[in-house]
Amino acid sequence: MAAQSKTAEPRTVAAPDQTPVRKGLRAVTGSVLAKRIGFYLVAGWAAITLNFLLPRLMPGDPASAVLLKMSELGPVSPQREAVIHRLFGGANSGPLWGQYVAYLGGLFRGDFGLSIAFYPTPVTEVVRSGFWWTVILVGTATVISFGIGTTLGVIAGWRPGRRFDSVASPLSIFIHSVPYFWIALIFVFVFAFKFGWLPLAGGAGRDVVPGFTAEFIGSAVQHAILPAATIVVTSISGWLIHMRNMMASVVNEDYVLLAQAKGLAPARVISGYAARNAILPSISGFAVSIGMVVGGSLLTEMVFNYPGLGSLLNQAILNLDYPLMQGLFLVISMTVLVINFIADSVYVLLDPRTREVS
Amino acid sequence: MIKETPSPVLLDVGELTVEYGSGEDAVRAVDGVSFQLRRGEILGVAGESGSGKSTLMTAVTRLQRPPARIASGSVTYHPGGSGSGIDLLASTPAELRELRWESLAVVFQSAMAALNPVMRLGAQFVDAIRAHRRVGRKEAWSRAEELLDLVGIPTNRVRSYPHELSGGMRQRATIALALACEPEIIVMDEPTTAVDVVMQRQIVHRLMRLRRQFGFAIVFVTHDLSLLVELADRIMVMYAGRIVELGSASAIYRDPRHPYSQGLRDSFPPLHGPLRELRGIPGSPPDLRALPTGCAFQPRCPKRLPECASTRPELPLLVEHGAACLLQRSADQATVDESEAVSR
Ligand SMILES: Nc1ncnc2c1ncn2[C@@H]1O[C@H](COP(=O)(O)OP(=O)(O)O)[C@@H](O)[C@H]1O
Ligand SMILES: [Mg+2]
Repeated sequence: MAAQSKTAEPRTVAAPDQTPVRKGLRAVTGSVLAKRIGFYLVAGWAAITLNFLLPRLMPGDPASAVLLKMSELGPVSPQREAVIHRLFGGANSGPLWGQYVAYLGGLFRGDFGLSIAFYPTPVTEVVRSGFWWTVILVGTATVISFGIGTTLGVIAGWRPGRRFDSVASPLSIFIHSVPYFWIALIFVFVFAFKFGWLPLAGGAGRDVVPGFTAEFIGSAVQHAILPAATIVVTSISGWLIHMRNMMASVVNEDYVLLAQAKGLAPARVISGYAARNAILPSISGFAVSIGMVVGGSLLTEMVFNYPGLGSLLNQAILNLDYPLMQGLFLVISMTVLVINFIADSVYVLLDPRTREVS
Repeated sequence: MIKETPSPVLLDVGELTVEYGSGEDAVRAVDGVSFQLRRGEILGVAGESGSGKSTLMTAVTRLQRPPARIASGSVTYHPGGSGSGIDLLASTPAELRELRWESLAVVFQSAMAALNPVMRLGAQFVDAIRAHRRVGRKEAWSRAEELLDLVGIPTNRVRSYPHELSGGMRQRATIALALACEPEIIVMDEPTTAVDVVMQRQIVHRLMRLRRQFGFAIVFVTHDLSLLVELADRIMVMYAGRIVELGSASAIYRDPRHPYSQGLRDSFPPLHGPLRELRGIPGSPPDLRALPTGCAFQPRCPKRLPECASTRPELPLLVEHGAACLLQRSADQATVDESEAVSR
């Protein structure tokens, strides 16, 4: 994606002595930002359009499949039939252009039809309920594992080959090679089944009424610990190895040696010079995995029967719930784009070399 | 250039040996090097690339990184040229941090690589200043501007990032950075190699002026002997990790006694004076893993004697100008014979 091109070598620019530096810089930063916003708008439009086209290009007729399922569940009113045609096309839904306009209109009203699997709950409501479960669980776990893994990687890579590195790095590579579901099953067996310290499955206790109450939040946190721990344990190692390798190469840079020559405290050399530069490539990687939070938690949510987007996607597929799938895909692709845009902007802030217009 | 009473010694390096790796496959990149740096002097270090100049300088400043390892020798710093000395090789990291930049600063060859690409130029000055001086941020930033002004960089550049500067400006900025805490010693490893000739001369002239102004001593490393002649008080010539000639700059340039120094002199055009015919040194630098027997330069030497392959010449101690060369010994011998003949 766009984030990758910026790890390229800095270009040397001979700037004339007398340019009004700060003003110029701000203008450059502004135009880079404008370009980037443009890129993401186009990407967002492409994702929406693809979502519109896919069911229409699919073999068979999703619209009639959906209508058939709906009629099995109850009588289908003409309005509901119209919604299905707007979303998926089908035999009597008019020219493509008209369908596209109607589709976009529905999208902006937030109307994605009714879910089949949870008939007759609207897709928007189903997606919204899963969204927060997933974002809070997987998002928190991803942030924690990035934080811990990167910090440990900094320590290991600062003095490669020393004691910490020679324990942490091989161990990480080992953990990295263990399949996720293995670790998840061991965790479930030990902590939930054998000792019963933590609940086996679900997002919160069945008898707890959802709401902003201490009881519900407590129950949700208790249910989240085990799945979050499996995510953290399995993904720390990846961050650790990545950061360790970047760090081990950055510590050989002259600017790190010069920072030491200046007599700075080691903590300052690491934070301001070594890790500060070594973390740059991790930012794009972090964006990718944060973006995948929404769609990539399928395995965790299935193992723990967690009521998030991953479980919803699973159910949508099992029930051929096209409206729900469409809604989920849209949410997933939009989240990826938004997160990537944020990461890109953070990257520009962290690396002044990317503020140049090429 | 030769002073009547020599200034006191600031830095005393004795029999320093630096190896890459250890045990069987250790490569000895610096082999028993001894020299002294006097207060306020510019000591030039010349030699082809690979002769061990950078290895020597990083070891002297305790900035060597693995696999480099100081095998033996001593480095003693005499603050202000005083009698009491600080053993740099025995100093703890905390003790070294106190001395760094405050007494001993460095300038690296590539300013682009030596400046932190994600930090504003001024912030890299402020970091150094505030590590050693109890000054406020604002004060440190204006000090950074002053320092940039000293080397002819517009003060508004203080907020620029390294990639926004031209190569010459970056190099001058690293020199200004070295002046930040007014150190007694600045070690410069090829500070002008990455810039063009015009910028090179500008930097050299500015350095000489700054030296007059602040009185610091410089160890100036380069492979360009004719540049050193413009700048240095004394020059030491390195080959295969050893000093092969040491003497005053003018003496080494006028009358190089080691065939290697002669070759080095003749392979760069002089900055001033008549052009000589340029000749490179034939052959290539030796493989440190398999040094020739006797004199390391002997296979490439145009004036080789038969015994050069068996006897390793030593640098004569306690002389103004000396070379580690057997020819030198026979030349001295010849002078002695001559004077004896005359006296008879
Ligand atoms: N990182 C290293 N690992 C192993 N050997 C090295 C390393 N750096 C330098 N050397 C050896 O030390 C010798 C001297 O290198 P260096 O001090 O960089 O020379 P100079 O600065 O004069 O060009 C080289 O010829 C090489 O054999
Ligand atoms: Mg070098």
